Amino acid sequence: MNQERNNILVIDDDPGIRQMMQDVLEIYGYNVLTACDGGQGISTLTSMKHPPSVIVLDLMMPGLNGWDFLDFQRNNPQYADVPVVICSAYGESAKSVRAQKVLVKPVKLDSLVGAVRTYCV
Amino acid sequence: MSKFPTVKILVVDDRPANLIAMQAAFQGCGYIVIECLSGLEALEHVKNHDFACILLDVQMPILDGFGTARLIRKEPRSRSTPIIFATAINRTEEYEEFGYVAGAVDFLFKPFNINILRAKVAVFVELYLQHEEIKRKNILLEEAILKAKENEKLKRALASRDEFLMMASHELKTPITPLTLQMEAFIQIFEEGSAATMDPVRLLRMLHTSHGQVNRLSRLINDLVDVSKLSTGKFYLDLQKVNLPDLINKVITDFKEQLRKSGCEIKFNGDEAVIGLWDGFRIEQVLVNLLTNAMKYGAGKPIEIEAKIKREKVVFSIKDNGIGIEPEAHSRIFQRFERAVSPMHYSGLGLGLYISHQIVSYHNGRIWVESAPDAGARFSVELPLN
Repeated sequence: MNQERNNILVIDDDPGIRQMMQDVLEIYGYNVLTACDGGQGISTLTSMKHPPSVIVLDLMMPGLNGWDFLDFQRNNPQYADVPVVICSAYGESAKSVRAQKVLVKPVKLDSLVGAVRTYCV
Repeated sequence: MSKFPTVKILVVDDRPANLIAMQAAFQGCGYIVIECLSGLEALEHVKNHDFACILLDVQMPILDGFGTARLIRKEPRSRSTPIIFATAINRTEEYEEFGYVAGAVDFLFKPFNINILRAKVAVFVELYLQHEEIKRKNILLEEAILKAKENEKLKRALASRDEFLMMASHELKTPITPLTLQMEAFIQIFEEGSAATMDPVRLLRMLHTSHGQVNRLSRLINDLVDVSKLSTGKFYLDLQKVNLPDLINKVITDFKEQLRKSGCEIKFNGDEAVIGLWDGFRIEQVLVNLLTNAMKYGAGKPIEIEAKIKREKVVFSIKDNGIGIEPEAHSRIFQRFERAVSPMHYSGLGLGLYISHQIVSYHNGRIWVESAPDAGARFSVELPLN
């Protein structure tokens, strides 16, 4: 199995959330890459040798937001199949998104790790 | 106000017999007929009542009808009340002209034909009623406009409060995510007995992240408590002797780490003591708010702090070289819940400048901003030394 199958891309504008998600997911043995908005998310995604196993995505972000990122990801066949876990403070705004999984902030450890584990080996 | 306003008629004649005749003439018309025997008495009445019409005798001792009419016209309340002159004198054109100049709208000649008298008065009563109706409708209209304006104001206030509550719950919830993740991870690790395998560098980093989140939450809560104190009038100052440069240096030292992260270099040369009678804790809060903003919007460029004494006052300013503020927003940003930027782009509740403005006002000082887009911003505070 390819090593990069367990890569996770975390996109969130809040530095505290980003750092903590990275630390916690790394404790569980995942490789984590982070980005602070949709734009950085796109450049990180496209610079990866293999697409990540799963993307953890915030919606409300400055610059290119989560919806912009999804628009790019879904319209690129290379990435369209990558599962996305939405992490948003507003469950309502996440309803408009056809995501595999929606987590409402504040996110609990079990739901985050549980959601991520579904898509990793 | 009743639907049909009462119609009052004033009859002025120095002869009681004529007054009785008039009273009889209007019987059954539904008017209130007020009678008086002299021009001076008539003037008292027009000050206190609105009349549909005034019947005024011309030949009266002391103040005659024409003189009375001129004075009636000077009273604001009776400036346009129709006056019908009643006279026994044979009509001449000059005489009538004189009457019209004095303010008459019509003439009645004695002895009266009751039907003519009633018909003439009825015309003015009809006019009066129409006028009253217009006045009533105008008042209703003005009330409606006022109400609509007030409603609009209330709606705006409600909308900005709702938006604030949305933002506040978002800001309060955000730090909870990392705190929850960290604690739940630690609990699991300790329960599994695998704590010893944890990388101490990671452990310390996680504790630092959490500590930062706790500080962020307590700052938010303090701001919310201050706003509620301010809006309920329970905000008090604890005045003590404070050396401003010491306070500024303390804040710079406290914010060393944040300054390093923001990339903003800080310049402050304050060796001379500037001592004032202030609430040191609150002035420090103003400095922290202004410095936090300067780092947040300062685009990583240098920040300059200055403090100068001018007569009995000190002016200190914090200048950044960042994104700047549109002139239209310069006064708005000191109001409650207001921000110059969209909450999508910069987090925060928009309370810092409002609280700072209030603190400065409580010290009888003032705060202002000089800025333009992309040209940085200089926030200045002037405080009396005593």
